[in-house]
Amino acid sequence: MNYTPDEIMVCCISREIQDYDVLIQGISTPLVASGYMLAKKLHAPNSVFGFAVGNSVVLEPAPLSLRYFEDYSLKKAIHTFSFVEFITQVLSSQKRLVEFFRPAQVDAYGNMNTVVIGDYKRPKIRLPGAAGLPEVTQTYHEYFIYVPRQDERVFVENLDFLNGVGFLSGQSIEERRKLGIKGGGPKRVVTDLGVFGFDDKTKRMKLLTVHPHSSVEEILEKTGFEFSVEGVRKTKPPTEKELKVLREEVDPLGLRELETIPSFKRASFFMELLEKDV
Amino acid sequence: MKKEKGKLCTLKEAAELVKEGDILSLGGMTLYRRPMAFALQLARNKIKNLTLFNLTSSIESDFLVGAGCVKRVRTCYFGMEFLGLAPNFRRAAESLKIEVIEETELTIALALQAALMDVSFLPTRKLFNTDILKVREDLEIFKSPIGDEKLIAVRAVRPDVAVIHVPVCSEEGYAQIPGNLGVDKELSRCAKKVILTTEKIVSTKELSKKRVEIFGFNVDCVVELEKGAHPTSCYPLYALDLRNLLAYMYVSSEEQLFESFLKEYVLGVESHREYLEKISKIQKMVEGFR
Repeated sequence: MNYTPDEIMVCCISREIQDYDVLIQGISTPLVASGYMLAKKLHAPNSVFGFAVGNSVVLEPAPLSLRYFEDYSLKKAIHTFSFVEFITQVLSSQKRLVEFFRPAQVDAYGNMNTVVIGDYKRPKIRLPGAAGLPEVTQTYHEYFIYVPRQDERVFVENLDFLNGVGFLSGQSIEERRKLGIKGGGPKRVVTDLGVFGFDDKTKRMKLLTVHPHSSVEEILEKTGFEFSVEGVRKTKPPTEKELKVLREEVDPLGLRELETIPSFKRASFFMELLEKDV
Repeated sequence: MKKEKGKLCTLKEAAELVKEGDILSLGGMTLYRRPMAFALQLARNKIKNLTLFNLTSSIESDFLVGAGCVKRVRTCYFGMEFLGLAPNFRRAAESLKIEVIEETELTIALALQAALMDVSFLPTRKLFNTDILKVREDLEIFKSPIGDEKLIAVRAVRPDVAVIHVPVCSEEGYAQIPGNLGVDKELSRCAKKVILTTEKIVSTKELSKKRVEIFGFNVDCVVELEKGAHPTSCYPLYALDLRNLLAYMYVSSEEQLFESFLKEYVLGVESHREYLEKISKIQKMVEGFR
């Protein structure tokens, strides 16, 4: 069966979703949006969508579109908020919320950076900013990380800036409570090469599964820190049903590919999209 | 009863309310309902040294940075959404031409909420354990008066001017916004001056049975401006213009290109309508961008 790295990532994201989850969508995350919708259609029919862009709650999914995102997030909304209300009344909920974050850098403990690459005072690359990561990573019961193009520049030993709180330097639950952290930290890291979890004791990343198109060697080469490979298995490939629903119902335009293609190919991707996304 | 002095004005008149050094907040979210026409007019007015205080900043703010109108940016996200990083913002921040103050969704929300509540700060503990505290010396840490908890004081921010683009409002500024509100309601209630640009003006009667998000008694002036958010969207009237956003990524990809774009397409035209006609002709797109 033929499938692409973005498609196996969508399936891995989808498989983490449980029924009745509240699925929070951040800024520009078509891979995550596809994963959420796939889960809703396959095994989590009672999940609900919370849109950070859109500031809305939506029950029913619609096919992905860049141009008509609002038709989905607003026309079908059962409630719309101001962002202040969204933060204080949805994101701080005691219920299980699920969000996937895409960091520019992540370390072995799942701490994240979306602010700068290089020295903060003289940044080599100025990134978009902290968004809501400082607060929600310390609030959610658990959360997820995804990396569409894993390499040693993303998986680093030391972050240039820490604005997403993972397991810090491996503190226990009791120590986290003392630091004022209510949330349980990151659960999985889904990349284009495999899926990582976190060791119960050390709280460092450990490789759980390798995607069929990759290898442990490739992942070692593309990771800037040490991690355990004990008991590593192959990722279960996308099933025929997952692929069919994903391609035909969830994301017929193929927007999921946007996050995994290299930047120099993006212009032609958009050119093709202009013909289709009307 | 004496009729309230009319609030309707031209884009040029409204933009003159923004003064050098002001804290300016621009409504909408990422690529949705941004006051782009207003931003273009600020460049024509040659406004300098603005502090942008936005929940999210995108093309409208990237344009203002490129046009040299901005001294400082306070935002939790500055980017072009699915198109990638914001080109002028990147260049200016990396060459230290502008100051960037790290905000988070929560610090923006608390700063505005504090202003609305007329208190000097609101507390949180959610910034501990991050590097935000290291780069924000204005965030004071204090001991809670009702326990041992340590808390962080996020200071109130009351913007000098808030500019919000809406699909429809009345002459008095009662506006309807069908979702994706960002912090527009809060801005309209705490900014010192509130400017609405609107696709359409309707009578108060026509608004009466629908939900109003912005109250006219908070609004200082109203500008009727078709396609005022272009190339971002104005739901439900038009979607974002992907082709034009791509053109922007091209013209802002290099400083020189942006300079000539600014001169020819923005400073060189009289009206927003003229700008829209001209800009629709840019078909070129950048070959590789981040």
